[in-house]
Amino acid sequence: MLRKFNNYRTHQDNLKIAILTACSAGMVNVLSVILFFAFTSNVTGHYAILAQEVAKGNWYQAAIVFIWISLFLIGNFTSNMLIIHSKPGKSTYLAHATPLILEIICLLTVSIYLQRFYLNTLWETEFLVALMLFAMGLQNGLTASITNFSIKTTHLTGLTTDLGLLFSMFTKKKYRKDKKLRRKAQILLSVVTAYMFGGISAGILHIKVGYAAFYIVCVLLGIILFYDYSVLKIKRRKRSLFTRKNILFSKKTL
Amino acid sequence: MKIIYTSFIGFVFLIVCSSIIISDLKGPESLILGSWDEVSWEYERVNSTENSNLPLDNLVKKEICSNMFIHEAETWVFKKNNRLQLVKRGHEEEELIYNLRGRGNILEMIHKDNGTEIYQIQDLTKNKLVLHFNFDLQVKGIVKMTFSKVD
Repeated sequence: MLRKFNNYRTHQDNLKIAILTACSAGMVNVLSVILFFAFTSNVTGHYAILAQEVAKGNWYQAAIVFIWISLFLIGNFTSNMLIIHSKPGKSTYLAHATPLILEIICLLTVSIYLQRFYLNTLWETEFLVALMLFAMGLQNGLTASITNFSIKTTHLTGLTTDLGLLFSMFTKKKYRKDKKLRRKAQILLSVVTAYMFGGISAGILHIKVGYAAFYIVCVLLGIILFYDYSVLKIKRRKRSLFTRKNILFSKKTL
Repeated sequence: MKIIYTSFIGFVFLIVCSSIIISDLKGPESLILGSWDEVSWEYERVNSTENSNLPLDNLVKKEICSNMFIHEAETWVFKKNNRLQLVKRGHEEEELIYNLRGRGNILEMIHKDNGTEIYQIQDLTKNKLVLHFNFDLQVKGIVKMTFSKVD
């Protein structure tokens, strides 16, 4: 999921990362709405609110919303910067994993803070929402960057537009037979389903386990991290076994 | 390259301005502190086109109150330690916990039996507080409550 870049990625690679990240985004968004009454995986609404607050002359609220939007932007910026500035030859996996590690750290911070220190003050709410927006920015930047801007999993506006266009294209037989378009539709539908599943399960989990629901999001992100890490390890082990066999074989022939 | 530097400087400038505004201006948390007298209850949305802001009579107000947590208090006293006193004719009716959520636009009130009321703060200035019953995130303003600050 994380080892390959842009055009080297297979459909399966994209599908796996899309499902897991969309699920985690859905969970984070629903949790933030339940806990803080603010959306954290999309910023379209925040732009509208920013305009509304400026028009009303509520400068404090406008400044808060501007900083929230900025943090989502900075998250995307950081993610892509880490990826494109990773030195060639060094591990691609590490470069792609770093935004996810940062995201896990952010969400763990939110969870631990909520469980141990949260006093229900407004500045805490504003800070935690900001941290979650930054985390979602990191995730969105990562998926968009490594999939050549084809997958974005934290918001569904563009995705719903794409689905509408695709479905209209499928009214023509020529497009229905197009494997590329069918795969695209499969990914988009998977993202929507995973996002909804994540949202619903977060709502249920919040009732059952409270703030600990954030740990489950971290586990999901951990799966993305360790899935590739384990694949890498297996590949390396196979390679070393193969080279060992080759050395033994060449020694025997000598 | 010049465009990149200009946008970067502009962005940093806006971030700095926002930070100054946040630290200097009084936020909703401090604006809400104090005593607020209930001034009016109004229907914001009715199926009438002529009178869009009908005042509520006591009967309707009572009917709404019977299904909700709303207390018919005259004065709401917001204290520093997240305590809210509902006062009616000089006597304390109930004390509950309040929290501000979102960007300070949501007022959450928690009763002693853990029942929760949620309002949207539509307007909050030095002298005026307007609350909307919050039934859903996308729906607002079935009933509008207006308060004025007590000196």
